Amino acid sequence: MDVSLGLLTNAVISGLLLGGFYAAVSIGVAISFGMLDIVNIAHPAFILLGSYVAFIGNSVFGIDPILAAVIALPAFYLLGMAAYQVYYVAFERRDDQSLRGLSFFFGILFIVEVGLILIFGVDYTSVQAWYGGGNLSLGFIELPWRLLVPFLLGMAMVAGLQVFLSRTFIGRAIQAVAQDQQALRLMAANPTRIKRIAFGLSFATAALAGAAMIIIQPVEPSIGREYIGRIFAICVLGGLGSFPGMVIAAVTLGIVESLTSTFFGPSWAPAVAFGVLLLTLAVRPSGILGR
Amino acid sequence: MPTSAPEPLLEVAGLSAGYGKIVVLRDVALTVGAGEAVALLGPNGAGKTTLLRAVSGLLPRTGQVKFAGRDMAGAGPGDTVRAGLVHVVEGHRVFTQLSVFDNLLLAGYGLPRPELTRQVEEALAFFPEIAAKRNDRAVTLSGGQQQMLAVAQGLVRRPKLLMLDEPSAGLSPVLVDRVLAAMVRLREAGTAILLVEQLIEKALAASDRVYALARGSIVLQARTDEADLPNRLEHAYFGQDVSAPLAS
Amino acid sequence: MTEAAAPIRTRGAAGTRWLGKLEGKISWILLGLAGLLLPLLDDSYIGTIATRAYIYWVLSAGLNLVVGYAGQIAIGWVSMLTLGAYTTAALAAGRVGPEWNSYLALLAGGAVGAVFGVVVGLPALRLRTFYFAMTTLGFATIVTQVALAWKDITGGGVGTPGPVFPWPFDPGWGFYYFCFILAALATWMTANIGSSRYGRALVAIRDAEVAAEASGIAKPKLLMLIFLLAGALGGVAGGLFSSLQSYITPDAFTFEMSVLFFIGILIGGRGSILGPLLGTIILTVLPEFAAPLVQWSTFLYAALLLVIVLVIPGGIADLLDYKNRRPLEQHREIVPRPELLPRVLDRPAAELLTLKNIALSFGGVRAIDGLDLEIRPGEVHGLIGPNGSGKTTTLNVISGYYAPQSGEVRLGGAVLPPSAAHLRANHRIARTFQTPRLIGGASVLDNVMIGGTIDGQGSFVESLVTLPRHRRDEAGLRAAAMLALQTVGLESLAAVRTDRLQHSELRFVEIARALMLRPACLLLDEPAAGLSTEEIRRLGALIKAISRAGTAVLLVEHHADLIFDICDHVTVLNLGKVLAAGTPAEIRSHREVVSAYLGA
Repeated sequence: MDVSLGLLTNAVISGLLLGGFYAAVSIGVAISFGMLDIVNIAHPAFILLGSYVAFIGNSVFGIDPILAAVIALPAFYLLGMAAYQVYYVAFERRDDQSLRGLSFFFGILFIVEVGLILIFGVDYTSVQAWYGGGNLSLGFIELPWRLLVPFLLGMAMVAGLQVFLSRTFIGRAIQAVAQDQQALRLMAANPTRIKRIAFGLSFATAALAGAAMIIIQPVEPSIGREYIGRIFAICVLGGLGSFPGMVIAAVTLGIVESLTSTFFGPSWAPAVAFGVLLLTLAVRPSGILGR
Repeated sequence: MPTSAPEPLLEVAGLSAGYGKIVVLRDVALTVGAGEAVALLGPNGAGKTTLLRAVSGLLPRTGQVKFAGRDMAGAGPGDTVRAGLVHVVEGHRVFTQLSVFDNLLLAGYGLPRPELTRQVEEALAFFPEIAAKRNDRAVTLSGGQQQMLAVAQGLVRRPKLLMLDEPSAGLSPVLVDRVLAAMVRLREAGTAILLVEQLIEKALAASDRVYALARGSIVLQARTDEADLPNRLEHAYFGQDVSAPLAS
Repeated sequence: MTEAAAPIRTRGAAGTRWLGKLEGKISWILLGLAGLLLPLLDDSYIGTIATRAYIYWVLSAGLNLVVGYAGQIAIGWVSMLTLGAYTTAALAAGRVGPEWNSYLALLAGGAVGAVFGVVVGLPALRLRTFYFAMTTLGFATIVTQVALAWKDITGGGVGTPGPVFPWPFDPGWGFYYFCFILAALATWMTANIGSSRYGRALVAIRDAEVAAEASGIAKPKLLMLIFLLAGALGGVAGGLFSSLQSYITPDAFTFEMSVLFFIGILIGGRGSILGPLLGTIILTVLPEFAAPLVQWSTFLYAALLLVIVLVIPGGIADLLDYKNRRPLEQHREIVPRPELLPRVLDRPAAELLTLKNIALSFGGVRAIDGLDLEIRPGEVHGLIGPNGSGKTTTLNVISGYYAPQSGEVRLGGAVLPPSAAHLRANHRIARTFQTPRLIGGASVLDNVMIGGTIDGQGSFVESLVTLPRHRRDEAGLRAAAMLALQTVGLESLAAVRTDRLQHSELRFVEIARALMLRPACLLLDEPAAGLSTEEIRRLGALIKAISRAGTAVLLVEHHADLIFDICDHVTVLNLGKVLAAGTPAEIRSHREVVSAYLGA
């Protein structure tokens, strides 16, 4: 194990950029789980869906994958709203909710995954974009474009959503709905409608996260499973309900994974995420910046 | 006091409501006139909070509720609020992570922006103490201030009738007086009030009429200027069939 | 219901019980026969499928207790299969020292599973359900990763051969019967636990944890026992699996398999053995029908899962539950029989409950501010006061849910440890709750039997294999519960699912459950709420009779009528302090009390 400074620096920088991507991947769950307390374990499958949409846009229509995802945003948003509606109608009786809700999303996870396999097959797919290869050179640091662009996308998504939540009416309502639904009802606000919008937003982020994913690496439908552990580890480590915390957690995980990968081999990556999750739950369950 | 007796603002008749299998209210009837302050008193477990929740649409109910001449059958909380009947729940629950101003903006959900800002300012004018803290997060307010914020939230809609559920709960006597004084000012400005309270003397002092609710039904109704009210309330609370004699 | 009718009913009930027992057993007999006779088909393909189903069921039977009974979402239980498989394979192949005998290696696999079952289960004591699910998933991922990396023991990605069992259980039909026997054993043992006081206690922890504590059920110990058993069964299943596959690699233990076991139990329905068994069989057999495309089987699992979760949440067990589809009599009356109390409360000398100088604050609020209280046996002591006066808090201190910051609670001279709600049952302190806390999906009789959990003498192992002491326990508990139900007047509803009962009946069921402890002290938290006038009258008569039989009764109530009617002594609380104490007549005319209530 040759620990050169260059290797170390490279691993840390890659991890940092990867962290930005992980933030993009996790922000949807930060909304659905962190703010609405809905365990959407199927989120990774929809990210994959986003990846394939980006792929189609890129390979069939020749457009930039991120642009393809942006075009698909409304469709994902509507899909999210529909999914919430089903969830609400089926599980609004809250007694057994955690088990049945979780099972529901597991079912959705598998169905979406299988759907993607049947349509696209199990081989790896990738996109062609100008940032697919090559590095941005900043002095002695080399930043691969294929990591940098998803990083920037992730940061933009988090910033955008943060502004939305704190500056707009609906955003404030979303923050409030987690706290006191009854009070909202008495203000002529419909908590169900607000949650539906929030869930739609959560799905919309999956479209962009999917584009980011297929830029970083070639995808195939079942890689979503690796991300279940990562996403929930990040949300828990960051603290539910805190976007800044989530970003810090995402970057932390990215760096830890990158270092582990470099020095111990890439197959340990999924285990690392769960290890971080277990550690957080044991030591500080409310997360870094959790309330 | 209305001279030619027009239709009351709020008219409740034959109301029954409960939680799941438990029936709490049986066949309740009451009225509130425009600009009136009515107190709803009663021991714990009588169903006062349940009554407010049933009227504002948070709980399913059977029976008739008419507000401002309109039959409110099937109306949910949103419709009720838009009709001008606002319910401020007990426990001064505000959105702690949002600022005072944001809390008030949220209370006016759905109103067009210019109108909303104006009404928020009007509501704040009633409570200068919290107007000074408009940009502070609600969690930094004291209990009394949070209660005022909760009432102010109710005011944003310019309600015709404001239902207050135990605004004194958890507050020191000084703060209770302040909140009730604001309520009296509201009434003078024309808003009708239905006040649920545990503190009988203070509630009676601030109201025109009173209902007593015990074991799920109305057991007394009177004007607050009638004689012998405390004794009659006591009878109503403890039921008529009590064996021991009253102390003098 | 007249006196004459009662004895006839009992005899009839015994007769129907025999029929009921046979009715329940029919399915098992059929399944058993099917399994025994399957080899006659002489189709090795079907034999392999069936063997795989048995192996999956051995693991799922244990997991069923964890997920279906205890309600812990252990999604990653495939880790036990992995651990058991590799342990058995490695030992039998001589990778760790000399070659082990296959059967011993299998046993070792089970032992390793048991140990790690406890390890994986420990977080369940502290974590919310979803987080626990994630930790089990994480553990499964880590185990697979370790299997990949630890090449010396596991052969890494290349894999390792599984053990071959010698005659009479050699590969083929011999091994088939081996797995069949173990599956039958697993079914028998888990069914025994399921229908024992341990099984009932698990369901109580799942659905009514607070009430379970009050009945003396200690969650940590019980959960750890279940995880141990489930881990052991999973490990054994793993060993069998490695033999069936004859060669195992880390990717044989897939994410799908993880979820499959879980789905099988969910499809089967919670709190049942037969349901999950059928569910597991269905899920094992399904891929064979979807043979053309591997992905279709995953799709079918998911579709089946969605159908169950959305449409039939109770699963197969619910579909098979014909008993609870029979309509109930509409206008039922609750007619308690207080005269039975001496038999129910047959217990040693009565004891005095005293509270001395109790103080408790929540944040800045003094909930109880220097409280002295004395509750004498043979008396009904009423505790009343306005909202926020500290009545329920006092009750919670006595029953051990809150620890006071100062002062002590004594029963007959012995100091009761604060914050030890699950130990109160040992002191024969029973209570009811403001909102009835019962297990909706269980029968009324089961709910009442939970009250007597601590009276069972038999250990977990004795229940596992139904040794005589377990049988005596069960018979005794059943008889005591029926007697308690007769006392409160609800014995006709004993077999009915509790969530079908009216609210007032639920309150009386709670009292029956409390009576199972033969309490020295009975704490009642607003038992009259939601009852009709006539029901309140009967409740009052019952409570009075309970006190006259020697129990010290503390009654927290809002209903002034009930308090003044049956209480021998009344204490009025206001703002956490005693405002007045005395007979009902004295209290009723006490000026300050009236003012406090009227909120001056």
